[in-house]
Amino acid sequence: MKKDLSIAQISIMKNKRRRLLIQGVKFLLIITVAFFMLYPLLWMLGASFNDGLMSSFSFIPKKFTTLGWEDALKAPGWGSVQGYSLLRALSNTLQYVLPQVLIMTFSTLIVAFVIARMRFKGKKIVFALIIATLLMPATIFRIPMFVFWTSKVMSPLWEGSQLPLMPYLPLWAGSLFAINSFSIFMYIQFMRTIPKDLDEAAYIDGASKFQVLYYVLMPVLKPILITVALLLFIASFNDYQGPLIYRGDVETYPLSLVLPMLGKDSTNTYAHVFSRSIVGVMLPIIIFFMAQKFFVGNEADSGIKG
Amino acid sequence: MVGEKKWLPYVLLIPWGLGFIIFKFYPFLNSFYLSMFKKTSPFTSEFVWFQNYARLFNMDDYYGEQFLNSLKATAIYVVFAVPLVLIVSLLIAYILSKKIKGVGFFRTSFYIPTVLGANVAVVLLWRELFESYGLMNQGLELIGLSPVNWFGTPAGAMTTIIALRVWQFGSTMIIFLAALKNVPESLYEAATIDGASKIKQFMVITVPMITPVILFNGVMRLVETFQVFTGPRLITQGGPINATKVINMLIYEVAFQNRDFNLGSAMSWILFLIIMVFTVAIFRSSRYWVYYSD
Repeated sequence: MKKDLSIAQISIMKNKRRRLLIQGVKFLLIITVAFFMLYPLLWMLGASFNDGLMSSFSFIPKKFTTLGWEDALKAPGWGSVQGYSLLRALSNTLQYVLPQVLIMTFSTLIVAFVIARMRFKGKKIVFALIIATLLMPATIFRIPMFVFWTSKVMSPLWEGSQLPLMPYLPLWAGSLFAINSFSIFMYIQFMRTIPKDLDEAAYIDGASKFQVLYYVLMPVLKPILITVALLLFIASFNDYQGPLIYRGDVETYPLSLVLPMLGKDSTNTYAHVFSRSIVGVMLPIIIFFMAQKFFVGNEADSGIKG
Repeated sequence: MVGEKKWLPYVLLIPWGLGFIIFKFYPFLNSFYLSMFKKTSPFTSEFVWFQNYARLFNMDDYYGEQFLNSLKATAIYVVFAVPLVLIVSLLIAYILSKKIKGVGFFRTSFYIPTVLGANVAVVLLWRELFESYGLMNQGLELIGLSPVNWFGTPAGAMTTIIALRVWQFGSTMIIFLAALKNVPESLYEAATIDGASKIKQFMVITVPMITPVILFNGVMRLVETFQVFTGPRLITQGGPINATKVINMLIYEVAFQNRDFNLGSAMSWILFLIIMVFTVAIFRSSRYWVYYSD
């Protein structure tokens, strides 16, 4: 009797030790990955304060300097224009990022609402077209769209325009027409998980379609709205090929064109290069941290059950 | 519903419909149309049927050779980047889906590189990491290995741009994480009672249950990696000896630097067809390996 008990105890202990071991291995693995994810960023931060070559694995600067940062925030100028700071380039970037994000978030919401919540003939065709364009590589549209935007009819609208936002029209015009299939798809998938009873109750009380969208669905949709807006922001802010193709005068250059222009030379040290680059990534990181409470957990339910 | 306005949905879809025609349908057709012309002078062009395509498959033609080379570079990139992203993100998501301390911290830190995405600043910093004095070589020295000339050899240069893509596995991981939460716990319990090991459970329960999401992630990553541009352009500039000059870079050079829209369109169409063939093949094959529980 006593012997049996001890065997059981031993096996429980063995099990416990094994589980601890597995936990330990998992934890070690995940910490290693986290290190690979974050250390390069930390090292870059250190390098932006280091005078001269950062020739060590450690991220702590050997000779401390703030020259790079002063320069990045004051006025390095770029190309033929001097006296502009990186903040000017950042504001150029925002001139196409903001309209793209603000308009696209809502124009695609309306399309998704129509498809998910209204009955009409041809719905299946519309949905099929959206799915088809979801998988179409952007490359195939790029050349003909450039031909379109540089045509005699379209080019006066944006090329050399002195109005705000307009020099970047080709980069955000699509938002007016809800052309982002991925946002529409995500909204539709999310709306499918919301019971229609909510809408029905509101309709019985005499609500209109828009009242239902605004008062009934919007509060429930908040996480997915923020997710879509954040994804649009990341895609637009980090876009490189678009601004490269539709670039105008040098002073209208956004960050993604200015940063590669400012390389290392006799006056630009490593500290300069690194501090500038960090200026270039700061905004996405700040916005991610602001939105992540809604974002990370909820992309989960947003989309991919189908 | 009483008094429902039949026309309302159509009115609301007008902007989308216009956008579909202007930004998708028309350029799609026009791209094919453009690909069958050849510029004869700055203002005139000539209809040449499929001559541009023939050029691209002619090894004696300069662009034929360049094109084949770019296909090769793109293929190497895709073949390594897609499976690596999928495997890393699935493993990490699997670990995070189990009870572990500090899930929130890890999830955030794994996602940050993805937030930075193809950001030019990050790409430029990535180049510094792999420079001869950069963090990578410092790390190699620290563990007793000799430094590598990353940008000097084709394999080294390709490694840097693939590594950048794998570093950004965050959004794939998040999608896997969501799918793993939907795998019923009872399946694991039953398997544990039957004495199946964790690894066996992963292979026999987890993977089959989330095959629809593996399919989704795989197709999305495939379409995306075939069109990679920022990394190779800013990190390796396509070098050395064009080893990392991927197809999208070549299209950019031909169409937007040399202003040959016709040849560029032909290249875009071939890229489009390649992506379509792969996508259709994967969807076709999915009936043999994708398991739908409902």
